[in-house]
Formats: sequence, structure tokens, C-alpha cells
Amino acid sequence: MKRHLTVIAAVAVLTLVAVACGGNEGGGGTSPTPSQALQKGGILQVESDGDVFLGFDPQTEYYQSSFQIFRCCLLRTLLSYNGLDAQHQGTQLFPDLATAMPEVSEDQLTWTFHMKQGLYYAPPLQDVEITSHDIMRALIRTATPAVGASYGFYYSIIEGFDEYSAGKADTITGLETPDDYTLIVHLNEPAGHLPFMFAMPTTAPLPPNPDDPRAVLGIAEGHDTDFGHYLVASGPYMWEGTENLDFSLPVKDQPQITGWQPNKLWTIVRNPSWDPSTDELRKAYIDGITVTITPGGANQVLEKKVIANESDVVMENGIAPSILRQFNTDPALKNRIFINPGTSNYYYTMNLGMPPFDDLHLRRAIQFAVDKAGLLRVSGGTATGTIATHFVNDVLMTLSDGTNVMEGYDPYATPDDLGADSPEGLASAKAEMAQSVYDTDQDGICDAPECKDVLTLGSNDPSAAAGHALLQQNMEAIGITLDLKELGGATIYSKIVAPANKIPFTLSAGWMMDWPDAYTYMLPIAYGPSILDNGNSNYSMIGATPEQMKKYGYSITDVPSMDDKIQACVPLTGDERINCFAEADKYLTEDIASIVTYVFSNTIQIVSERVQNFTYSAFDQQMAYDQIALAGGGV
Amino acid sequence: MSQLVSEPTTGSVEPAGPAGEIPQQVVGRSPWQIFWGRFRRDRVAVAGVVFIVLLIILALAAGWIAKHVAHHGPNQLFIFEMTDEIGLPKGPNAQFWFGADRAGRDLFVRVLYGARTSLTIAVFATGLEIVVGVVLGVAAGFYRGKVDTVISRVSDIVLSLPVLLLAMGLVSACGLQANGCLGGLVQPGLLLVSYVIGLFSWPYIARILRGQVMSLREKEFIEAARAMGASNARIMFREILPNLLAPLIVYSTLIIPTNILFEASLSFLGIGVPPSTPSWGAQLSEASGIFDVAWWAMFWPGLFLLLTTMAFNLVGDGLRDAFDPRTAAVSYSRTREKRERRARRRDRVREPDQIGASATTG
Repeated sequence: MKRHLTVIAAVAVLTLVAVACGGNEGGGGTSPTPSQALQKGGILQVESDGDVFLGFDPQTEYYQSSFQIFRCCLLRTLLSYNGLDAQHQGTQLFPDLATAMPEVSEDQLTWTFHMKQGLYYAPPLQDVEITSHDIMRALIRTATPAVGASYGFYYSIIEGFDEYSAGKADTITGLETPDDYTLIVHLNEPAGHLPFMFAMPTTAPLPPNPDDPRAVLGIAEGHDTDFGHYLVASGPYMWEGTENLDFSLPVKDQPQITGWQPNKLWTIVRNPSWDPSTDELRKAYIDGITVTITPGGANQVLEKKVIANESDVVMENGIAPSILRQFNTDPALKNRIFINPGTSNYYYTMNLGMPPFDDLHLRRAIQFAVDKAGLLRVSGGTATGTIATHFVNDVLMTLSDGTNVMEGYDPYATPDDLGADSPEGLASAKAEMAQSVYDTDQDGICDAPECKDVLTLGSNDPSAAAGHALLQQNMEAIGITLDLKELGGATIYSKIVAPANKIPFTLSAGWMMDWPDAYTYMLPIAYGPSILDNGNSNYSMIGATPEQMKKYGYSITDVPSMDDKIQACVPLTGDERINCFAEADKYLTEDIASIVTYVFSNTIQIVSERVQNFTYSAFDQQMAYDQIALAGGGV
Repeated sequence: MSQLVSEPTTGSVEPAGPAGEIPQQVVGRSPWQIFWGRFRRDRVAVAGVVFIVLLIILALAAGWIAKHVAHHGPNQLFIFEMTDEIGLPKGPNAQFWFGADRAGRDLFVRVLYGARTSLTIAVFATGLEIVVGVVLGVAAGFYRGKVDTVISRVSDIVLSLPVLLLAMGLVSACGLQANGCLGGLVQPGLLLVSYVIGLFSWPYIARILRGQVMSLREKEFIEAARAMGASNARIMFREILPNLLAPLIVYSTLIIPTNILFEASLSFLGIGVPPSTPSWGAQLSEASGIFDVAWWAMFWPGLFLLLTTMAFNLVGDGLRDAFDPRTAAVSYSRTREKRERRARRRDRVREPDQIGASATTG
């Protein structure tokens, strides 16, 4: 989902941490209802304040709302998720189009998928069977530069993928389809995360064009940048009007799907070709979904509609404080709010190449000094999320038996998490700072000029101001003054993703998993070879080579690296993989310490009174539309 | 010789008493005395002046008040004392007279410090605007011809610029190097905001002055000065500028609220003063998401902003009316008219043969 950088401070994500599923006092996690009580029927009414802006194209999308619609409804993939929360294996993979989990060779370089037979696409392609060639076609499109696939870089581990992208081959040599229902994947290097990659929408089957069998990209031929308007579904639902697509016409004459009216209305209806007996993951009780977009609309207004039962749910995960207050105080509303741990984190990054952040003791002093309890409070309180003591969300540090590997891990503990706002916390911070080269008189307060007026970028969103003020107070307590520039999200983003800009300190950064795996955090953010000239996410420059540092104009060229720690985890799977990444996270937190993660945020959703069987899909972090039902069949 | 073109001096003349009495000595009043007399009678304008003076005092004393009266600094955080469990600020109480903002800071103190920001902008931005506007406006009106054409066209262009967008661009561009733009000359902050406001607003003053100068330069005393060999510079400084003082004062005062609001708008959008500098606009922005549950967060900065701009507007109106009653606001002259009509009715002696007439004219 979101390989995504939220450059806006948290605020409106308020949730109580879900402890157990079912039988909880209304408001936590998932409360699956026995299926006999649930009726088919009804159209779910959804509100949203904005449309997706990556074109609803499976190769380019990476946001929650589009991933949700793809997974629950429009697209089936070789493997997929069950639409439940982490406690109910919501972060585990299950076969969807595949008959079983893939077979993997001894050297972990060859993975084999077998597919179910007799599955067909939505009209007008109801006679076109879903085959392994269609998966191959989707990967070819992923590798096509003109399409601009967002996750292409993950698929580089497939042999021949990059060569195809570069135009050096006319097929991806590492993909084999010996028959219509078998896909063999050859890798360049062992990768325990391969199965996750085949649950992503970018690998959803891409149908051939029956009127042009030679088209390399099938029905997407000629639709490099607008394929979202021509999508043919493979899941329980489809865009309304899909049956009117006509791929026999020249590309420029083909009518677009009427069900997706950007910035106005999404209309999703049942796909008559979907065979429920082949799909154990999706219940598909509801008959359809309509999403009404109010561009720039205030979430509060939309939330009030849900409270008044004029709509069923708001697509975004935020909730205004005044609305939350209503839910806290009105007993009738208590069962209509659902709060779950998400996989977003919020953090500050220090640039290892910019003084004074090149000193480990100074960085550790800052880790002690930050008042995380205060930050959480001004972000919306303890319901917003939990205080983070390491980088990767606890949800992804949870083993198959439910144990949180990072339970109790808090190397920078201060009383009540108050940081420098508690005397002991301040003392710990000063004790670290006293060992820093920038504290020349070793009194625990930085006195070097490098500690004055440190250029800092943060969001100018009104909700972020309080957090910034608190941070400034904490930093001043150890002698660091910030030259804080509060700017718009897009402006900040454009500056911090270019290492050559040498921004020392970045606030308002956040991350979210791409799939339930710590690798999707570590790879873009803490891995040296991931550093890009533009669009970089490794703001700290962890693992940068001296050549890279010189190229970007840094005077400091020697920075810490954890590349080997990350690489060691890549071939592993299951609990072994999680434990390995937990060690890497600890190393990042204690030995590099350039990232101060302060909150693991929760997601909150409120629903109308007719929504039944609310489940929280851990993968797309939304209500699972494929699991819910409407009371009385929506009548 | 310079001459002020103004209303003819009218002395206060005692009415002639019963035949034979010699009228008292006539004492002339200077134009400034006349002006002040008129201004004093405009009670609303005087109230405005009083408010502004009070505001200046409060702004100057903000530091002292913070320390000795409120016992809270403007940037001191009281997060756990003054916000609730979901991070919403708490309202007015004995220690926090205006309540708290989202960071648990004392809103009363911050509103006072915000006055400093608004008044600083009032002075610097307006000052810059006046300087540029006077120079260019007088030049355009005096020299006319090509000079006027160029200045007027530049004026038109500047007036049609999307100022807010440009301000955003400037702040973004200059905000991200450690030392701003132009080698540190243009730093985001109060000064940059002043530059932006001043440099984009000068055409208002320039246009007005240009028109005034154009009519002034045709007057006889200018011709006389030229005949006596005065240089252009001397004419502009000694003959023309003094006559522009009145409109300049008036329009400057009227422009101040616009500039204050402009700064507030920039700060509201997050592109005004730096985050640590309290500003009413920024305070309004911070309150925007929560005003339905924290009315005070928006009420107090909003009220002060309103009263301040209103005060300057009223003072500016009063100044304008005092300089030239022909431009007096309708309400003022209506009040005066009502008073005079009442006085006439009281004093009227009804002649029997005028009863019918008075019935129709009374």
C-alpha cells in the first residue's frame, strides 16, 4: 500500500489500541459476526474528500484507498489477504488465484505457482479465461518504462526484469509459463519476500485483447497513462459499465468505463463472472459500493453524515477531535467506532552528513530528550496511537503466534516518556551530550556553533505547530536551537528527497508499509544503495558511500551503514525473518540513532448503524468491504 | 516661497452685538488647528486613537506583563495542564485568562505578543510602501511623459500580480537555504513579509499621489516658483510634497489595516512570520480545526485583529474628514445636518403670516 511519505503530522488518527478481537467492549479490532446472521444485499455508501491521483491503474497506484478497492473487490492476485486484522492472520498470505502457496527450490531462486482453472474476467471478457500468461503480461507492463510503475524497483530481483525495462530484451527471461496455469519465477538472488510481491495489484492478471492477440500489453495497449479507465475486473466486483468497453476499436475511440467518474463518483457493482466457490477469502455480501467524492470537503462534515446514518463510512482514517469526543460521550455510538493499530509511524530524521548530527552521542542525546508523551498528547492523545520506541511498527514485529518481539524494548526510556521535560530524562540526555564533541565543556549542553540555528524543515499544517514548539523546547534544553521553516507538504517533500539539498533535520515524516514486512521500511529508508538523486527516502543517508557523499557536496563523507544487517534478512521467511529485522531495527535505534520515531499511529473508522461484521483489513488498513454486510440486506 | 493650498483661514467671529459694540479681535486659526478641532469632534475616530495607543502600550509591555502579571512566557508549553486527553486545549481560567492554544501556551500572552507583530508590520510595510509610492508617484505626476508611462505601466503590472501566490513562492524559495536569498538579505520572517507587502502595495499610494501631483503642478504658485528659477527637485520637495502631506497621512492610515490583514493572511497560510513569532493570523490558523470545541482559540486573536483594523480604519476616516469636510462621511454630515436642523427649529420665531410657510418648509 502506501510506500508513502506523509509529510503532515498525525493529528486526526485517533484510536485505542485493539487488544483482542471479538467480545471486546465495542470499539476494538474486528468483531466477526456468525455468518448466518449476515444477509446479502445493499449498496454501501462511502464518502471521500478526494479521489485517488495515480489513475486507479494497478501498476501505478500505491495508496490505501485504491489498494482497498483492488483487494476487496476488483482484482484477484496469485496470493492475497483475508481482510482481517493482524490477530486473525490479516498480515499473512493465502492463495487466491493460486491453488496453493508457491513451491520454492532449495536455493530459493526458483518459485513455482499453480493456478486455479476455469476463472473468467468480467464482461465484456467473460469468455476470456484467466491464465498464467496474464500474470506475465502484468509484470511486463510493470517493467514498461512508459507506464511509470510505482513498485517496479521491487521486481528487479526477477531475472531479466531490468533488462526488459532497459529495452535490451523483448521478454522477461526470468518468467516462464510452461502452460496456461503455471508460472515459474527465477530470481537473481534469494528473496523471502517474493510471495508478498505476488499479492500486489501490479501483479493482478492483465487480460489479452481478443481482438488483437499480438498486443504485448493486452487490453492496456495504448493506455500507458490512462489504463484505469479501461480496467476489466477479476474480483467479486467491477466498475459499473465495464461491459460497454470495446477493445476492438482503435485506442482513441474506445469508450471509458462509466463507473469511475474522477472527483465525483465511483460506482462499483457485482461482477457476474466471479465464482464464489473459487474464492475463500472474500465474502462479498454487499451488492455494490458507491463512493461520493467531495473534493476539498471537510472530513468533519462527512463524518457527521455517517453519524446521522446518511452515509455508511468515510474513506479516510482520520477523525476530527470534536467528532471523537462525541463518540467518547454518547453510549449509542460506542459500537460504531473501530480503532486499530495501523502501520504508519511518524519520525524525525537527522542527516548523518550534516553537523552536529554526525556525532552519535549527540544523536542519542536527542533520542532521550524528545518528549514523546507530549507529542502524542498534542497529536490527539493516547487514542491517536502508541509511543514508538523503535522504527518499524509493532504490528510488523509480531510473530505467527502473536508475540510482539519488541515488547518492552525501550533503550531511551524516560519517566512517563516525558523526555527532557522530566528531570531524569533531561539528565540522561545531558549525560549523552556530555560525551559529544560538540559539548566542549562537557556539561551536557551543546555549546558548539554547529548546534545553533540548525536548519529544520517541518509541515506548516496547523496541527503540527504544537509538536514543533515542544520539540524546540526539548532541543533547547540540551543546547540545540532550531532554525525552523514551516512549509507546505509538497514544498518540503521536493526539498528533502534530494540529498544534494543537505537538509540537516526533517520533521513531519512518516512511513507506511508496502506489504506486511519490515523490509518495506528498511529498504527505502536505511539502505545505502537505495539513495537516489531525487525521490530519495533515506534522508539520514545511512549507508551512503564516500563517493555518494562527495557527489552530493557533503564535507562529511564517512557515515554509518547497516546494509549487511538488512541483506542478512532478505532471504529469510516467516518468524525467522521477523526476528532478523527486529535485530536490524534495534541496531538502527541504538547504534545509528539518526531517526527519532515518536508514534505508531492507529486508524479509526466510524460507521453507520446498518454496517455489520466490521473487520479491519490489516493489509489496506481500512474496513474490509468484502467482509462487511448491511443490516437486513441493506433494505 | 512655499504656500500651503488649503482652506481660507476663518477666524472665529463674534456676532455683532447690539448696535454700537465693537466686535472682538479676530484670532485666526491655523489649518492644523482647524483640522484638530474637526478631528476631535469625531468621537469614533478619537476612540480609535485611544485604542491604538492602548494597543501600542500593551504591545510594548507584553514582556513585562508576561513575566509579572501572567507569569507565563509566550512560548512556554503547559501541555499536560492545559490540554485534555485528546489534545484539545482547555478554556479560560484564573491563570489563563484567554485559555490555552493547542500547545498549551497562554493565549492571553500570545495575543499581546501578536500585537507586536501586527504593529511592526504596520510600521515597516506601510513605511516601505509609502517611500516607494511617494517617490514613484511624485515622479510620474511631475515629469509626466515617458517617465509617467513607464511608472504607470509598471504600476499596472504590479497591481495585477497574484500577490499571495508570489508571496508563497518567495517564501518557499528563500526559506530553504540556511541563509535565505540574496546572500542573507531576504530571510523568511517579519522582514520578508514586510518587503512582500510593501513592494506589492506601493501602486495604491503612487496612483493617488500621481493624480494629486498632476493637478498641483498646474497651479500658479508652481509656475511662480519655476519663474523664480527653482529646480525640479526644489519644486518637488518644497512646493509639492508639503501639499501631499494630508492625503498621504490619510491614505497611509487607511492602508495600515490592509497590511495588517495581509500579514495575518500570510501567517494564516503558514507563509508569514516564523513559527516562534506569535501572530494573530497564525493563531487563527492554528485554531481553525478546533474552533467548534475551543471557541477561545479563535475568538481572542480574531477580536483583537478586528478591533485593530477597525480602529485604524476609523482613525483614517476621521483624518480624511478632518482635512477636508467635503469628503466627510455621510453619517457625519447627516449628524451635523440633524443638529443644525434641530437648532434651526428651536430658534425659529414663528411669524403669524409664516405659519403656513413653516408648515411646508419646517
